Amino acid sequence: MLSVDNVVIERDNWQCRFNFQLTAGQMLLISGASGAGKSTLLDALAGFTAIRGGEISWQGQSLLGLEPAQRPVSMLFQQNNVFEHLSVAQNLALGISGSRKLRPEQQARVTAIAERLQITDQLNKRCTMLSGGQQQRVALGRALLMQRPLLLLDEPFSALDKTTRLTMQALVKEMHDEFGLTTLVVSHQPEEMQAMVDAELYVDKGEANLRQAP
Amino acid sequence: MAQRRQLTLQPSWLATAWVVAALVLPISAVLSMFWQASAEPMPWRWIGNIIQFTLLQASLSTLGSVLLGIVIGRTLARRSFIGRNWLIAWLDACFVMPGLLIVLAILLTWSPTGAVGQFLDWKFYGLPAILLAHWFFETPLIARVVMQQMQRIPEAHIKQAQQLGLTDWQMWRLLDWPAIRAAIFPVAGLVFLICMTSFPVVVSLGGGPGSTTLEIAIYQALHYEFDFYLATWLAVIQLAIGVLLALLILRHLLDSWGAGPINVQRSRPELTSTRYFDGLVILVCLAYWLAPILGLLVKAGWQPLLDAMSSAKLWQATGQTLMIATASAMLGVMLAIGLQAGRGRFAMFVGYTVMLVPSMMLATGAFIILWRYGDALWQRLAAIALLNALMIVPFAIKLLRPAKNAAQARYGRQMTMLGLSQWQRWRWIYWPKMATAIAGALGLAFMLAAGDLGAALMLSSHDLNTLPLRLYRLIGARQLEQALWVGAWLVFIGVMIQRLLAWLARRYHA
Amino acid sequence: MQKQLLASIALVAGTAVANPLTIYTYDSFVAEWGPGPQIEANFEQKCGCDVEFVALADGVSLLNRLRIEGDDTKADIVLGIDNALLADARKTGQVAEHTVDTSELVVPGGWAHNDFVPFDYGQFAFVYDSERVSNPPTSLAELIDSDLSVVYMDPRTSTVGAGLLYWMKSVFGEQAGDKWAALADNTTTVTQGWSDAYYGIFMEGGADAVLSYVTSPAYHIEYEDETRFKAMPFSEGHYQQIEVAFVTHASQQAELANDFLQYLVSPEAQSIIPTTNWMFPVHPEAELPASFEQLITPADILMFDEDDVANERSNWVREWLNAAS
Repeated sequence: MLSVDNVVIERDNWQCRFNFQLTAGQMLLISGASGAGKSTLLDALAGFTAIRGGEISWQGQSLLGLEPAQRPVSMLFQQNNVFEHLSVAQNLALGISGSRKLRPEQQARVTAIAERLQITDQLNKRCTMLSGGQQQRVALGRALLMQRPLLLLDEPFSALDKTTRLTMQALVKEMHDEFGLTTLVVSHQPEEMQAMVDAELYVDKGEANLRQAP
Repeated sequence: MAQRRQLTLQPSWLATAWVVAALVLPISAVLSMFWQASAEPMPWRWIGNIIQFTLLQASLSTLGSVLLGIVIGRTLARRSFIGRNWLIAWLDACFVMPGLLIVLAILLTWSPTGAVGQFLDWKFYGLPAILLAHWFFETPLIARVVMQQMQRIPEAHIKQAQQLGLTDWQMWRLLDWPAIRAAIFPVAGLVFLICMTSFPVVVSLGGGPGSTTLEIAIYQALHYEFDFYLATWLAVIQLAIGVLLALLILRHLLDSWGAGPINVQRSRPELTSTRYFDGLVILVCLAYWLAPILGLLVKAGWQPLLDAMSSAKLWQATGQTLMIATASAMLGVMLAIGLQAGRGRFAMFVGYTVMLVPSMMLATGAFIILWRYGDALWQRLAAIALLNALMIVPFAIKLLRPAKNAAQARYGRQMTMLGLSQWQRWRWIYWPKMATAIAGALGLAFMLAAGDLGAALMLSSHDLNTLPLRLYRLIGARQLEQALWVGAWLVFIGVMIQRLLAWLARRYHA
Repeated sequence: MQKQLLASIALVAGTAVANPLTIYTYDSFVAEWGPGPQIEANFEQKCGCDVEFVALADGVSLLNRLRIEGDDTKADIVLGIDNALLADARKTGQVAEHTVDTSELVVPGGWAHNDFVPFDYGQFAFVYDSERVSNPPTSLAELIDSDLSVVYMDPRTSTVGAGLLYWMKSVFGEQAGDKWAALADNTTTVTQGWSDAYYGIFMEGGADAVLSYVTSPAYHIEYEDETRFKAMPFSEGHYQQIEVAFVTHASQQAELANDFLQYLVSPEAQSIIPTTNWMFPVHPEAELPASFEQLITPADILMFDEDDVANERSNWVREWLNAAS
């Protein structure tokens, strides 16, 4: 269970307050006007933003005080998720280890995820050669290889055309189910995803209201 | 996970430790000699004179460069003419040219035997010669900053001003000066610092114990007289002045220069009223900056070229210069990279501290260490390479930082989330993203180290022979034509290395 | 102890040890136009041994090198320091007594040392171009007060420059400081070495007078057939430089080294000196070229005692630094 208790985040001249819980294995849609504090919440969960007060815990253990790399969290941002100058294979491998060489069984995991995401053909290409949708597939693949139970998506598909976006959203749902993830998705087009999520968090001027799925 | 982090050797610590050691060892060697040396009566009057002269020449050099730079910068910024871009490129080149080549240009033009100097009845050596040389390479820097700032004035403002019929003076007061003001003072500070510690110019053109700077006096006390006591005193005085100056201007200094390439293509709408004045300024530019080099080439001839190229000493010097410059450039850039690897402010601070310590003090320390613990040729070469590497560090940091910051801004959060170590970040992200910047920094570092005279002269011995030393000796023997070819060869090598590095960087990206 | 043992082994082995006779000297001595090559060839033929010159920049470098190397020095002979450096040379602890017969040698002012062998001498003088300067000054004081532009060498780097330092001091004594200050007004520049000043500036027309030797005009007569360059005879007299050589304590072939020095002062070797080193020979029977007859004769020979020079030199340099700046 992800538990966000009375978390207060200081912004330039106002505060965000969050107070909700999410059962493990569920998918949460976060919606609200831009600038309302949606990304701020994800940054706080991932450890990129310090919080003023409150508690964030996962399965009963506090995440506060942990570095981003130590948290059970992988996150995709709006852009720059893949290292464009590296190949697809290299990008995926970084999800397992930053060392030069992977062990055979690690290599097998890379191959498997590439197959699952249908990017096997691209493995040796540089990411600059890929389309936006393919790049986000690589990013998603790497996030999965990191084997962290919480997946945070900060509108990673907002720049894609509608068809690709829908495909990617469906793919995320599939992965969410297959890997038993707990997923938080920020979206500007909440209507596209409302059908697949378990709950929706509506953020408005720093106040968050949790609504169960319709 | 937390344990592994602590055990990893961080590149930033390694680099910091290295730089600190490279600063502390020579300085403590100097201080140790200071306490041991028997105190002879100090030539205080002379020391007073050289402090005065050091500050006087640096002030006049700075003042002259600033005034000339503003006039020339304004003219070039607002006037378009055939060859304008070439002239600007040439002025840029003058700023990075090895100091000895500028000495050569000044000698061949203005000295009593030079093209113009022979018609002048004046005391050339000393202050006049030093100022002529310093203006030659500092004015282009100021002019560039002036042009850069003037580019920022919105074109609409200029058009408005012209509709209002403002005079040139009013334009200057209302538009140009406000745009230039903020940038000019830090650059002037930098120019002052460079002129205060300028070595090749003063050592070649000073001409007598009166027109000597602290930097040269340290070298002379050691090399001419074996007088550690005097040398240390002078180095301490120099350090004190440097620190004092740094306290005054350092904060501005750090963000003032190395702003990267700018595009000086567009010229502003022209004012007809300043036509003749601008024409005159351009003529002066051509005469002062271009004529000496053209004159050199005409005068140089092929026989001195043959003499220069057929000398075994040239090839020995080329070999030693390549060794020193390659080692210095690589080590210096590696240190700069290492210092920036972490987030620590301390490392950056250490990198910039190098700028404040007089290079002659470090060279003195190296001299003492070598004198005590052996002075084989390879030890001297290594010491010179180390000293030059240290001098390169602040420049390299300055050049690499924008690229590093860009990569950090783009991928910082991903790298953090993946938990990559400093080494891994360099391996996967910074190194490939910064390859072009690193190639550029290596090229400049190579040029700086290859052109170094100070450290080489301080540690020179009968078998040490670098291209700048060769150049210095030829200039000393007034073999100016041969010297010119050696200088051209030095520049050629530098340019070739820079192109090679740029090519490698392009290939890496392709 | 070990050194002595080695030395005695070398002595036993005698001439079978084929170490070359190593001579540290300044570089113009061994330049192709200098006396070195000829003297080397002649002596090698006589002794059937190998002579090796190690060339350093000047006399001061010779002593610095010796100081650093100490007993490990490879030098058997150090050749080319001058009378100003005798006390400094002794301080290295490497100056051995020689066995050379110097009774026939003639040096103005006499020679009474049994550790240094003089091999040539000359007096310092200012040289001018008689086609440019018609009324040359007749005394050092007059030159200083004239408006002729003068170029001289730094006394810290050049033995010729040091010569002027002693010359000024011996002529003006306590007033030397003021005179240096007065000279500074008409000084074109102070160079590091003699050739920079002589060829680089004076011969190119950059100065009216250059510090050099009374013998310098002979060079122009011999090689350029040119008589316009002349030395200025000064009424106060001229300071004299004597160049010497010595055998090192570290030498393991002292006998051979002494043989070399004996040859160096022989009429045959001494006849090479005038037209290569452009100094006066110390042996009266040495041949002198005709050009030497046209040289001026100094009114008086000035020389300091070597201990005075050693004790006072750094003060004199400081005085010059203070006054000339």
